[in-house]
Amino acid sequence: MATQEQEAGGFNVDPMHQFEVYPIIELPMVGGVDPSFTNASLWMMIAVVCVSLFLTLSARGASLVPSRLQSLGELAYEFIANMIRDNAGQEGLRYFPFIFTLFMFVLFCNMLGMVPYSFTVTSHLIVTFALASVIFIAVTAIGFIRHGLGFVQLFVPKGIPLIMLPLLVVIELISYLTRPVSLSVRLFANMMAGHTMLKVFGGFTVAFLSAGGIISAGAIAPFALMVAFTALELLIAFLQAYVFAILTCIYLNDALHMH
Amino acid sequence: MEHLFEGIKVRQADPHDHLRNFSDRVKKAQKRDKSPAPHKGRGTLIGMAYRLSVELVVGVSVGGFIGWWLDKWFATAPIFFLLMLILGMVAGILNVIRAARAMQDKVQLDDESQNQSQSENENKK
Repeated sequence: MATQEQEAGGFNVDPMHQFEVYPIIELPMVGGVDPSFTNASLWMMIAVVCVSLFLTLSARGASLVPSRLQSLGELAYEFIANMIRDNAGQEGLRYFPFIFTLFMFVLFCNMLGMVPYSFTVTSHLIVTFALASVIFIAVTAIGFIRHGLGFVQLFVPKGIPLIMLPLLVVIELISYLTRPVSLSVRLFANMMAGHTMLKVFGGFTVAFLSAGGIISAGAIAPFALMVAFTALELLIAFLQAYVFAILTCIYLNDALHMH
Repeated sequence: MEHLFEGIKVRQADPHDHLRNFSDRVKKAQKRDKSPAPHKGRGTLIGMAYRLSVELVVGVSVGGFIGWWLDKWFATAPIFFLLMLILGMVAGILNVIRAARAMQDKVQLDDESQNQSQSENENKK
């Protein structure tokens, strides 16, 4: 890493440094697992606290003519409720609390990641994969609870000759197993790529500025791009939370109404 | 675990119906003064693109991983790895086709409802 920085000359910003996880409160190992309280844990807790504060404050003193905060809360509620109704049907509304929690958590983690000097929890594959695994296991369990062993029919396409069936069942199975991976990789890759890009352009700006003289004026180009990318990143932060929630609804729909 | 689910059922049974009625009433109210929303679905197009892009790569990697794991299990490297890699590719393509088809249906539905509301508006005029 050191040689790389030397080669780059004045440009010595490490764009991956922001993703470093370090312990804030070190704890002894428990059964081979390090339970230390890290910056990732801290930002997850901040996200949870922010969501709780936002929702309790927006629900407090509810009136017929909503205040700004109340209408924001209602907007979020309606948004997810409609999403579930459209994608998983009326029965899906039973799982509203879970999907709403999921959406708010991912949204707030993404948005808090846009605050300078913060840490983006969702830019770590293990976090998104843990979320996606919970969804995957829960949805599969719901499918088996509702349909019993008949849920296995999800992997058996209809109207296929018997010789082709084993091959297609394997393909269907793989296709089902890709769900948690694609769900988590999508969120993680988007968040990490965006934040790395912002950091790289930030580095360019600083490098131009520190060059001094007339070259410093060149800083305006990467700076303008950074402003544009920040706006795009805000859109992506929301969009990825939305995609995460809507895919959960779609998977839930498969478990509730088998196709 | 079970009693947990039961509690949810009991609580859900009543307000559920109420909610359904309520949403029907809201829908009726919305239909009355619904102006066509031109930007609906615009923002989600990017979301759709992101959905598809990952699907292909993940199919191959998950297939490869399963194959590698089976090979370790049965000590048959690299038969399962290669086989599952190809099957994973097929699964990825299948996923993309399915997702794209679902999106197509949705876009068509949106277009139809938009056209309908537009023609309704024109009739009113």
